[in-house]
Amino acid sequence: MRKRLSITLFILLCVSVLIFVNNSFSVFAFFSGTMQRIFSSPKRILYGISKSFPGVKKDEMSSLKKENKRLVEKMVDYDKLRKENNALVSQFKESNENSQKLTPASVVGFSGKELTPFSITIDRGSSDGVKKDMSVVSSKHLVGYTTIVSPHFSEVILPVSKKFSILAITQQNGSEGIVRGEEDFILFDHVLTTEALLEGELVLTKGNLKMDGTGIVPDLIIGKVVRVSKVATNPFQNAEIESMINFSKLTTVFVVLE
Amino acid sequence: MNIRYVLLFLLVLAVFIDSTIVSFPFVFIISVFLLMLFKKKRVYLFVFLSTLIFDSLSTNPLGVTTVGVFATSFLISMYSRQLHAADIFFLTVFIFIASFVYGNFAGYTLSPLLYISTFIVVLILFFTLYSKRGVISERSL
Repeated sequence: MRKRLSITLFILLCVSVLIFVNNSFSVFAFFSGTMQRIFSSPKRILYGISKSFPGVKKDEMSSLKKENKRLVEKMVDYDKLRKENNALVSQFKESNENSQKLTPASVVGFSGKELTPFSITIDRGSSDGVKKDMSVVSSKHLVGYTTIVSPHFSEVILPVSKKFSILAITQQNGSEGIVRGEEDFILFDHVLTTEALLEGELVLTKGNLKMDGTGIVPDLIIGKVVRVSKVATNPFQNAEIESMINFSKLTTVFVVLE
Repeated sequence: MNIRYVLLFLLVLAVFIDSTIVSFPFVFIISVFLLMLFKKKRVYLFVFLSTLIFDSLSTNPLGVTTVGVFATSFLISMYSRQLHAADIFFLTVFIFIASFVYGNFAGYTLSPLLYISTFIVVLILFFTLYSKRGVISERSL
């Protein structure tokens, strides 16, 4: 009896290995897709419930209010500049339309720490036109890029993840560098010491789009510089970046399809 | 209440929780314990299907959890047949290492301290259940 059960265990182990080795076969992709379609709604509801609990700290709220006030003040200046820019654009008859094709996606899971997740799972996959390495945004902010794409779900890697690495540029001085995750914070690295890097400066994506629409869209906000580290003997300087997005609270994001 | 049904229910719950709101290999641990505790074909098939569904929902490569669970259980069954002894310490260390290896392979990213503390809590719970039934000394090993 015991031997028979061990044989069953061994047979199931062999079947598992076969499934794992051949998981790209259409029959397994169909199984994954069907399961994802069936359980997509319960997962979305469960994730929504878990994120609806009040978890924002008081000091975080007050700093957010201050930040909001400062941004409103900046918006006044921004509006003025925007009007001037529009006038210039119309003068040169340039099209300034946003031609990006976006698809909304609900967050249905995450991996990593609860407050600082390293990746999120969204309910859009290859059947919705999502491909590997596509930008995922929330308004003008970069959320991350897709890494694993299955029929109905995709994994989006976030800037705090150690696997995250993209080209970036500062808004004010145009200093170029590489943004990568350090688990607890985002690092803007490999910036030449000859370049100016200021605290409070916005760091944007430099862009790396490919013909098929995959890659990182340029001019998306990654975050702002909060701490600069510069050593005289080192040819490069780096800075800690703070994202303006609370990744643990995200429930809806947009995938840039084209 | 029948412990088997409690654990099976916990496994179904873990499939959703593990792939959605908590990043900890609960599915792996519960599955290994179920296979150790209840040596029945129905339980094997239930665990097999549950782990496949879990891989689908968590965008893992299909079969990675299934292979991990069944390989660990197979190795445990080999060990228990050879030594005929209830070595809780060995099982604890073995499942801990196995779940840590699986966790790294399946993309779990946890701080070692949180991982160890959560794992200890889970193990205490399960071994309490085991010892109440006398499963470790009489049935499982």
